[in-house]
Amino acid sequence: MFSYAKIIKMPASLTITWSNQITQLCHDAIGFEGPITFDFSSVNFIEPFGLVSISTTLEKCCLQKKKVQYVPPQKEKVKAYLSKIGFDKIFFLDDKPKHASTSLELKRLTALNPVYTDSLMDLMDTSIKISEEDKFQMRLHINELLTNGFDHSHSKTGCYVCAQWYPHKQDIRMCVADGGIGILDSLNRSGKYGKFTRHDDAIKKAVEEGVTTRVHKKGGIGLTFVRKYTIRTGGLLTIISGDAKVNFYRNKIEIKKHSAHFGGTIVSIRIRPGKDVIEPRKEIF
Amino acid sequence: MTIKIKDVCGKNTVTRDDGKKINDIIMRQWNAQHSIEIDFGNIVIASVSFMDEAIGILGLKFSKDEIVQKIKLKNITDLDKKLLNDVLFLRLKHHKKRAA
Repeated sequence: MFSYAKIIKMPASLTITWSNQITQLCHDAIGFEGPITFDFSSVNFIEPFGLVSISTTLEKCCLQKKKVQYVPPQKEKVKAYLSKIGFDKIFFLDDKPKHASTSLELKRLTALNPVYTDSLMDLMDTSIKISEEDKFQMRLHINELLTNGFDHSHSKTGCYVCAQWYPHKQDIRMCVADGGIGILDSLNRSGKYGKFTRHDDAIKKAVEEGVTTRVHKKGGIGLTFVRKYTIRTGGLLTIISGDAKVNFYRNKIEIKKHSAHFGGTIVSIRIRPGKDVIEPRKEIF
Repeated sequence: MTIKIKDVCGKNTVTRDDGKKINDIIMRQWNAQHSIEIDFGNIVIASVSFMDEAIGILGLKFSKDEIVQKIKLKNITDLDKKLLNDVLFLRLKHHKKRAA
């Protein structure tokens, strides 16, 4: 029995740029057999990616019945943000101020929840001037990302989801993380696409049109729509699973290898509302 | 005959399982009915999974002409109609690829 706590010292920036370091810390926390202290004292910037990846890890630590402690950020603004967005409420404290109008509360979902999607749309309505078509696309994205999370991940921790509007950059970042089996295992279990040994290959396969792990069922076009729209707006789709991070840009796919495995899948999208390039309509009806 | 989405699915119009309820009715009635009207009741669907499972996958079994002749859409929002066209276009393309 361990009597001392392992300190997981978070980096200053909990953003997707630091995904290698953050997933390594998540891996360390889950692998340690004693109490864990999540030290946020040096953190000065947090994105939805950082919130959902760490929340998934915290949830797993709780499932492992580990004693978990939290050192809040020294920076008051960051501390207040974590509290506003709901991080404190989920894991540590009970009282929480109303969340900021540019952020969508961090949420743990165990099933598709139309109320959450409605909240996202309210956020869009109150903080950003975007077209009806962009709003529709947002709703569609959140629906598809959550559907994928619940359908394929076999996650015991459900899905964590968070979104944030960045007025200075005029973009929205949405991130969904599950603590499930990951894309490689999911594809391999389905037995439909051969045996993958590399996580980056599995991720690239998963976003191909028509690829689905549903047995004897159709599917596999939801992520295709998400990828196409995100890229069309000049945004970015990033998928992290196992030890791979794959960025889908307009003209290239960038693969990065992480030093540690993330147990599950994180899908992050950066969308630039109003920047969609209108495609020729395909009229059938 | 008319299939009212609200009556069949209520507010659950996101997942493939939700969409399958509509597709099951369509398939049961396909040969018996001259046309099948689907009433969306002006609700916003915004789900590729639902649209694909409810109507899109018909494109893997039937031709564009057969589908347009049989399926009539009522009270569907413009954006959902565009989404449905995109989904169906993809499925018809898959069907063509398989047949080739």
